[in-house]
Amino acid sequence: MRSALLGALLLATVGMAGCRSEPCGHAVEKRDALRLETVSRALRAWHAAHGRWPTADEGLMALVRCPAASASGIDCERFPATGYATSDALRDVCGRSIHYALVGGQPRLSAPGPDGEVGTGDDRVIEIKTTPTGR
Amino acid sequence: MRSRAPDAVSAWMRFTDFIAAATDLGMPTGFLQEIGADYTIVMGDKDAILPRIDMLILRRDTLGAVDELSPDLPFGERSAIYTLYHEATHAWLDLHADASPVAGVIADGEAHYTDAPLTDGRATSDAHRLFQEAAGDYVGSRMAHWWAALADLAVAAATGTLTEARRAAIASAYEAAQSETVFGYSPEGGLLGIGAAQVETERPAPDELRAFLDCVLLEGKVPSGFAAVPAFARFSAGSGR
Repeated sequence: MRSALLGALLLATVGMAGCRSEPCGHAVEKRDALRLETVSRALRAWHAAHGRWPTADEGLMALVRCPAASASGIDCERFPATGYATSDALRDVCGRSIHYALVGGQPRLSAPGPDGEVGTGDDRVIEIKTTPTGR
Repeated sequence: MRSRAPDAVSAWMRFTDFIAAATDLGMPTGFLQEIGADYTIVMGDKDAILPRIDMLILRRDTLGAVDELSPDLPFGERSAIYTLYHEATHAWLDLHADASPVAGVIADGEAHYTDAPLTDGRATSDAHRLFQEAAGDYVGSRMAHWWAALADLAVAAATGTLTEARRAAIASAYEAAQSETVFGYSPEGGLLGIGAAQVETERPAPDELRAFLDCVLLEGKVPSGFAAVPAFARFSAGSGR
């Protein structure tokens, strides 16, 4: 019990300092890169199944649940019950949303960099190209 | 096994459940079991270890991502697997830091990273931390790449798209990812650690360190060659639905 109390005290102390020095834990860049790659994989699986990328309006939530059937043309009966990605997977390590856009018809994923804003020079970005196998 | 405070039980149970599921999937878990037995595991607002009190802190979403671990849809476990193996590597090195041969591995590793070049053009100011992060990054990355290939195989099999070409593409991506040799960062700048930036090194990890981690922590289950991974063998082209 004493160890747990000491741990809680240290956790609070380290947490306060850590909020400024390493806000989301260690190796943030690597973890964000892996999260972007995970969303990229889910998008490729979505593309292979449905023959197109989610529209900008559908966004990344199309990976979590079937878009409105009447507008999307997607057969929700065939949409995986689990979705293609968890909603947690659509956020970076710090809990901020990963941004989705179509550029020239191809997806671009962006996670905010250290400045916390999307659209600035320190963003982490993946551009996805359709491969011959569709994956 | 040490006693656990009630607030740590949930995190410990979820960590233990993860170990059981990972073992079933063919992942190396022996060193995770050591951490589960000897470290207090709690949920917090960052993923980290507190070595002085043998405490592993995991974020709720890190543990949540590997609840009911499965390589099938939905995607979402990879970053959490990286994190769990990364932090557990720090914890394991801490547990064994004073014993042979780990003490020697650490001493050699820190010597290797002394004054190592960083991507910002400077040399590291903290070889101890750079060694620790290189080891954690190596183990975490190997497992993250392993998981990505397993998930790609499982999803392709489940959706009936595991052709020879698709399997070859997954194998190629796996082997390219596992050929990575540079790992780790050191915190630079700031005052007393506050405001420091994580700057990656440009120095490759030493062969001896990688061989040690491959053998002892990864139990030889994460080889660089796709065909040598036992867990991938059940996914042949045309398997699945």
